[in-house]
Amino acid sequence: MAKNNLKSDISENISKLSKLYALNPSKKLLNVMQDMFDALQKAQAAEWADGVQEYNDAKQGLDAARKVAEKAIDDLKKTADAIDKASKAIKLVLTAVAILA
Amino acid sequence: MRKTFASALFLCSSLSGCGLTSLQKQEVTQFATATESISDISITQFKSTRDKIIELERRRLILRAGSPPKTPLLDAGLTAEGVAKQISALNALKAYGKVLEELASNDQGEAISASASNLATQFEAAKKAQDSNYSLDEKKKAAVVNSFQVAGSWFTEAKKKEYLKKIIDAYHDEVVVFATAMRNDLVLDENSLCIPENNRKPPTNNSGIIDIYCTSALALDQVASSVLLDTGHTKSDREFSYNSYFLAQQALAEITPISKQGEEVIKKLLTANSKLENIIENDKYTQNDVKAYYQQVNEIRTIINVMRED
Repeated sequence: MAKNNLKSDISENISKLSKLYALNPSKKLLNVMQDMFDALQKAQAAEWADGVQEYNDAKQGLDAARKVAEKAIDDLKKTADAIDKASKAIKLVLTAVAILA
Repeated sequence: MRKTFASALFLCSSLSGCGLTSLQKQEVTQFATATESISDISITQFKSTRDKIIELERRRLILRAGSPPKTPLLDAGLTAEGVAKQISALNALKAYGKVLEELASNDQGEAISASASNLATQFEAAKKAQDSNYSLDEKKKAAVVNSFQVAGSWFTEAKKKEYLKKIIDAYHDEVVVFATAMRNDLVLDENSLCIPENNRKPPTNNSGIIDIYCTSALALDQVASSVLLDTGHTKSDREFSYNSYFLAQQALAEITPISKQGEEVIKKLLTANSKLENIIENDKYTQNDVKAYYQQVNEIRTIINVMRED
């Protein structure tokens, strides 16, 4: 929140200075505005760096969830194998029954 | 034995109600594709925007020769390390899409079908050993193959759905966190200087890549135009300033459309994410699904009758 206030204050200053500069363009005013842009960039970059941390946190969450997914896919393959084995087993039983019949 | 086999088929058919419908599979696949695309688009966007910012800042630094900044930031604070972390995270999101797609499209039907076909052939051969004139007619053979395939597929689908539920549940909240973080980078801050002053609102989001891009473009636009409006500069200085001004104008022209597209993409991702959970939870059969279901049930009945006859 504090960053947002600082960012808003700087943006508001830049808007006001831009209006002044349009009325009276001076090198001094231009330099002040460029410094203000630098300050705004720094405030924005600090917030962006916090955002990168959020990405990092989300990635860790995803990595943990991926293990659930990998296990699920592995289990599914095992299930398919089990179905295949069951089908083969029934085939053998039926063959035996047919021979005995 | 016949009873046991019939019971096994009945058990498989009872489980079918828990399987994935074609509509659910389609929705999961669509969401998976969208997630992968959004990750790809964001990665490209972040990389190219950082490159553009570096070029804007390089030009601004040169044009500020008379009053250079105290601590120049060539990348405006968008460190390569930070962007690399974002890309790595977006790749993880992309992997989620791939997992969903793999699971939804993973089909063991072919293996089961081959197995069922073998079953019919072996049964026929065994009977022929007893009675050389015996032959399982094509209709009955097809019924055996189809029913086994259906029963196996249904069981697999039921398992798939069970796992999809677990995965979607595990990932759901993380996708929301991702979408929020990506929104900061793709959508302009409500208080941005790139938004007309009377449309600005108090900021609710953190600044992201697009906001830094806006600041760089505005700053360069101002310093470059000041040279163009001034006298006493050399032709090459004016040319460099003109090119810089043009570049800044180009950047400013693309920022608003990018932001609007970003807003739309994030909204869709969030909607699809919450919809996906509901889709997997609730089975809404379409008329075609019901027809297919009825046909499958009939095939199961046919195979049970075939076994009884034999």
